[in-house]
Amino acid sequence: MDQQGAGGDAEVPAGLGLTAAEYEQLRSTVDAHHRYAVGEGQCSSLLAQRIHAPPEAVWAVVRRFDCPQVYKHFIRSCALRPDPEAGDALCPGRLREVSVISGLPASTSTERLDLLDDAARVFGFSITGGEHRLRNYRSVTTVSELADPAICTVVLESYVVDVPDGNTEDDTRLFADTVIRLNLQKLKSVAEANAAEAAATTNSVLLPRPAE
Amino acid sequence: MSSSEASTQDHGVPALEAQDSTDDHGVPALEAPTPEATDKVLAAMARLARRRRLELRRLGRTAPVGAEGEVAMRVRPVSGTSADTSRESAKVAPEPHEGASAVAGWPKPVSHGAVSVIGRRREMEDAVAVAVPFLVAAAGEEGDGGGEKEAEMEFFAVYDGHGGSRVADACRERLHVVLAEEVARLHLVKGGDGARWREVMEACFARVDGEVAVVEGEVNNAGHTVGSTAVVAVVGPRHIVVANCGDSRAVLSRGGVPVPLSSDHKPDRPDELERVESAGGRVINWKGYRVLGVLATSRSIGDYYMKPFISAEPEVTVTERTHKDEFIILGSDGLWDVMSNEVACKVARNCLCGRAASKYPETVHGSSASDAAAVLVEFAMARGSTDNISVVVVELKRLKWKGGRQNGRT
Repeated sequence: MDQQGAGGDAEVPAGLGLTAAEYEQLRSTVDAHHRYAVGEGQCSSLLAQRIHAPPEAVWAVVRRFDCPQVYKHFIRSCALRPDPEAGDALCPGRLREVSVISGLPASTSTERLDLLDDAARVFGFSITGGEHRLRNYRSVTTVSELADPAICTVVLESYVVDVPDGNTEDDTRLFADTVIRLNLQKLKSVAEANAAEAAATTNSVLLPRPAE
Repeated sequence: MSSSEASTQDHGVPALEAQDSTDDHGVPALEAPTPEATDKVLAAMARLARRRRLELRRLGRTAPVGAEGEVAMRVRPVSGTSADTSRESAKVAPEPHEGASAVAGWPKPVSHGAVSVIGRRREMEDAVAVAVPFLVAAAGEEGDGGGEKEAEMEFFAVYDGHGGSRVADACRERLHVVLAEEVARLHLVKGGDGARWREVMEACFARVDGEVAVVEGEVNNAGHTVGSTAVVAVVGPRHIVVANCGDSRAVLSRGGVPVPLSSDHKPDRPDELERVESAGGRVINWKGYRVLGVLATSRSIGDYYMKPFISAEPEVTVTERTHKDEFIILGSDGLWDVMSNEVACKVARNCLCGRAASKYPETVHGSSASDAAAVLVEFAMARGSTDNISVVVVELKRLKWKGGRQNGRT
C-alpha cells in the first residue's frame, strides 16, 4: 500500500477504520514503519485496532516474540530456537518455530525477529520457512498513543508478502487480513482484560481499610 | 479434519456392478458380485495392508505378521450406552411375520460397530457417539391413534473436530442428550414427518452450538477457533433420519447400491458459496476452497469467530426403510477423502457377508459390524489417509455370502 501525495494531506486509507484526526497523529509512524517497496507479484496491507488500555500494557503483550499465542489465534505451540549467545534475550535474529492448530491451510511457520524497539514500541518479524503459503512475508507492528479527540492506544500492523501462484492480490490480502484482524481483536481483548485486572488490583491496594 | 484434496476416485479397485433379484417370497435375495471381481478388491486390500505393514516398519512401528489388526493405534474411547457389541452381533434379526399385528415396521439394526483412530496426525480430534437404545416410548402411549405402539430408535454419530478437540468432545457428550430432549419436547416419539424432524434437528444443533460458545473460565476467547463437523443418524423402525453439518458423511447400502444420506458442506458447493457470500463472506482457493481462505468446511458446530459465514444449521434427510437396506456407514473425511461411497460399501459388504474373513483370515477377523468398521479404517490408512479416521457401521440386515464355505464367521 503506497500512499502518494507527498507533503499533501493524504486521505485515510480505506477500510482502516480511523478518523482523519486520528490518522493525522499517526502519519509519522506510518511513514517511518509501515511503508514498503512492493514489487511485482507482491501485495501489502495496513490494519489498525483501537485499544482502551495504556500503550505500555499493550506493548508488553505485542513484544513477546517468544509467546505469540497470548494474543494470536491459531497457534498450537511456539518454541524459541535456542541461541547460545543470546540466551533468553529477545533481539533481532532470534527464530521461533510456530505450530498451527488443525483445519487451517498451514501447519508450521518459522519466524525471525527483525525489530524490537522498546522506546519507539516497534515490533517486526518475517516468516522464513514452514508449511504454509505466505512466502517472503514481512510484518511490522507499532503501538501508539493518541490524545485527540480522546486518549486511547492504536495498534497498527502492516505486512508485505508474495502473491502465490494461482491466487490474486485480493485473495492474498483477504487471507492475511482475516488472520491479522482476528489477532488484533484478541490483542484488544487481552490487553483490556489485563488493564482492568491491574486497575482492580491497584484500587484494592489504595482503598482505605475499614476501621477496626 | 483434513483439508486434503485427495481424489476419491476409484483408481485401484475395479468397479463392481450391483446385482439384485427377488426370490419367490418377495424378499430381495442379493447375489454376491462376480467372485473374480470381488477377489480383485480383496486382493488389492490385502496388498495394501501389507504395504501398510511395511510403512509402519519404516515409521518405527513394527507389527508382527498376522497381528495387523492388533497394532496399537491411539484409539479414542467410543461413548455409548449399548450392551456389548460382540454379543449383539451374534443376534439374528427376526423375520417379519406374515400377518403380524401390533408391531409394524422393520427389525431394528442387527448390530453396529464404531472405530475411531488418530491415523497419521499429531492429535486426535475426532469423536464417535452411539446411544442404543436412544429413545423408547412407553408401550400403549396415546392408545391406537396411528403410528407404532412402540418406537425404539438408535443414535449414531461421527464428529470431526478442528482447531482442537473441545467441540467434538462436547458433541459426543451432549448432542444425543439434547436431541432426546428436543424429540420429547416436540412429541416426535411416534415418528414424525420430514419437516418435524428437520425442526427438531435444527433446534438440537443450535442448542449444542450455543453451549460450546460459552466456555466457563475461558480467558480472552481463546477457544473461539475450535469447531467440529457432526453427522448424526437416528435409526427407527420405519425411518432413517440423518442430520449433517460439515464434511463428514452418511451412506446407506441399499441392495448393493450406495445411497447418500448426507451431502458434504464444502465452501465451493454452489448453494453454500451463495450463502457465505450473501452473509458478506468470501470463498477462495487457498489450499482447497476455504471460507475467508481459512476454513475448509462451510458449516460446523462451534467456530464462533467465523460466524455468520460458518453455519451450524444441519441438512436433514428422512429416508423410509426398505427390505433392501443392508447397512449404513458414517465416517469422517479421513475415510471419505480416500474412498468413494461405492468402494466403502463394497468393502463393508464383503466383510459383513463373511467373505472377507473367509478369504483373508489373517487380515479380517470376523463379519460383525465392528469388523467392517475396523476393515474400513485399515483400508483408509492403506490408501494413504492423512487425518483422524472415524467410522460407524450400522448393520440393518444380516448379509450372507452365497459362494463357498462360511469359514471365518465370528
